[in-house]
Amino acid sequence: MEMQLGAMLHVYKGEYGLPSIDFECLRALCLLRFTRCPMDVQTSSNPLRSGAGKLPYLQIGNQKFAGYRQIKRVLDLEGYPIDAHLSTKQKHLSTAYANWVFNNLHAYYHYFLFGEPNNFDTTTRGLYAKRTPFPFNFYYPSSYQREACDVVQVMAGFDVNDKLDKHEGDYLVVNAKKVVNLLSRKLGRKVWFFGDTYSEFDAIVYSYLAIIFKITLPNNPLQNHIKGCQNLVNFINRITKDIFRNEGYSSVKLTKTPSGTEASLTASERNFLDSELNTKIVAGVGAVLAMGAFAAWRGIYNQLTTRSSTDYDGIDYEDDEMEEGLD
Amino acid sequence: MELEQNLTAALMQSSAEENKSEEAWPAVAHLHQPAEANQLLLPERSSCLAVKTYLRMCNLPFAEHNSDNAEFMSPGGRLTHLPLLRLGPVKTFAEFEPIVAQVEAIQGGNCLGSWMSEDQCDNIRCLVSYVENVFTLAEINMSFVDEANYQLYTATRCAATHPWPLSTIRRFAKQKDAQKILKVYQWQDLDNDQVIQEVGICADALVAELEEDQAKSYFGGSRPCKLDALVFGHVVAIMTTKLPNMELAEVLATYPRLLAHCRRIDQSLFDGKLLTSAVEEQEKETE
Repeated sequence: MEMQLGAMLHVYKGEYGLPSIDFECLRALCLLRFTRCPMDVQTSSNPLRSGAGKLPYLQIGNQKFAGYRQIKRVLDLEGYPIDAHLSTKQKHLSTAYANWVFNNLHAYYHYFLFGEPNNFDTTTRGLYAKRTPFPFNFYYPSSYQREACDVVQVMAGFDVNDKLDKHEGDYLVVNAKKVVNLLSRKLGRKVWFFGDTYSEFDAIVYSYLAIIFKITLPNNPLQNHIKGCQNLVNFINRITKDIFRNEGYSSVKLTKTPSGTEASLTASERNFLDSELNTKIVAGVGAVLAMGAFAAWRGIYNQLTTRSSTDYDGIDYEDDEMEEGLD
Repeated sequence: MELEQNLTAALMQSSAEENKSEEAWPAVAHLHQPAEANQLLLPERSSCLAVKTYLRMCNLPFAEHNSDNAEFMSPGGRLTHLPLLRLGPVKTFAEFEPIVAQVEAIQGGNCLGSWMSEDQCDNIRCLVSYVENVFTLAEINMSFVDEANYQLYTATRCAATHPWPLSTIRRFAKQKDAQKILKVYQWQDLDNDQVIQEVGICADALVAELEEDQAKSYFGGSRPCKLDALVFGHVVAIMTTKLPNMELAEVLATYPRLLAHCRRIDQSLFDGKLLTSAVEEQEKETE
């Protein structure tokens, strides 16, 4: 089996207890973990190493498969298809419903995570930049913003680069709320959307809703709406806690002990101090290098080594003194 | 559960209040589309045909107009921005799904599909969205990405009504738009075979839906619904448009159940004029 060649799935690291912060990475992770495929997951990945310049990508031996569609095809061929246990009719419904959810939630996701300037600058850019290696983290998150511009232009008909009051976000919000209502009604009291077994539709719904529900954005109207649908909240939490027990990550560790608040403070304080220390060291080294370069340019080193041979007013009598010594 | 029911009720109430202020269907509703002879592209033709079929199924009168600038008059839309339905001086709607939503809002309880259960309604709505996506994206791919089709069919039609150099600019602009649409829907790296495969999967789903219950002759039961109109529009447009590369039509020809279904709708609404002749020609060619 090709799995022995060290198959590795590269994704972004998670946050807020989720296994990943990116919708496409989360979808690919669902494909893997729902079918219990024995593959490693690498979270400190370089997006530019993948063939297409984006995460997620799957590396088997020397071959790279970038993007959700290709990863799904590889898994289907390797014997871990996600729709294995569904009947034919359920398979067709799963594809149709997944497509419908994509049509309605994709634009909302891209607009409120990347398109809205306030959200992007305060939260999302930081999230992605921390998980991209230096020096790409300065410009790489903006590529997501450009992609979101295209998505919003095609699906919602307005341009993200216009002024904020020209953004027609209400239409997106209303559509998204209708989708959430329907999803809640379809799920009912069931464990998975199609009864007892997982499907691609569960993967897509979980990937969209988990991120929209857990992420703390300044402007996210759907978050409260999802909170109102208890069965969807249970669905998200169950999958996060059970299936992604090992991959869930949160930079602020919350403990249940009485000193829980102290522990969380210390952790966050430590993070703060670390970042301050880093900045101090880099700033100090940079300053020393800059001053040293300036001094060298000004010729301080020549002055230091030849100080013994100069007079009080700094005139160089080196040749005269040497002649006197010989005599 | 209670909370979500309240939320659903609140949303439906707000939309119902909007409906009460809607007028009835106007005496003359205008449907605008580009000229079929020299300007209309394949994805646009299927969308226009689907809307016309739906309006005929609902017995709603409308006047057809051939406008060169229909795509510029269109208020928006996700895929093709056509056809354009004008109900009053300011009320315009474009593309199949918004037009259907508007018709259902106006007709209220009498609309097509009101006899279906809530689950069936949801399924049909999802299938409509899925079918429209897959078929339109496949048609856009065939028209703009396939080289032979683009050079010989699409490019001349895009530039037909504009003088040079506007024609060249419009051609490039439309091609860029098409590529952007394919990229947003994540179809940009699919090659021909994969596109045909996607269409095949969709057709399988439709045939399975038809054959699920032997008693039903249409997707929604014994009477046609919006899904029938949509499938009819796309299938007929694909089968009857003469492209240099007819791979889509060849794939659809392998689903006789779908073609029989479309022929039945053709007989009842259009007196068999649209589909029969084209299909007979195809069968003669394959023999």
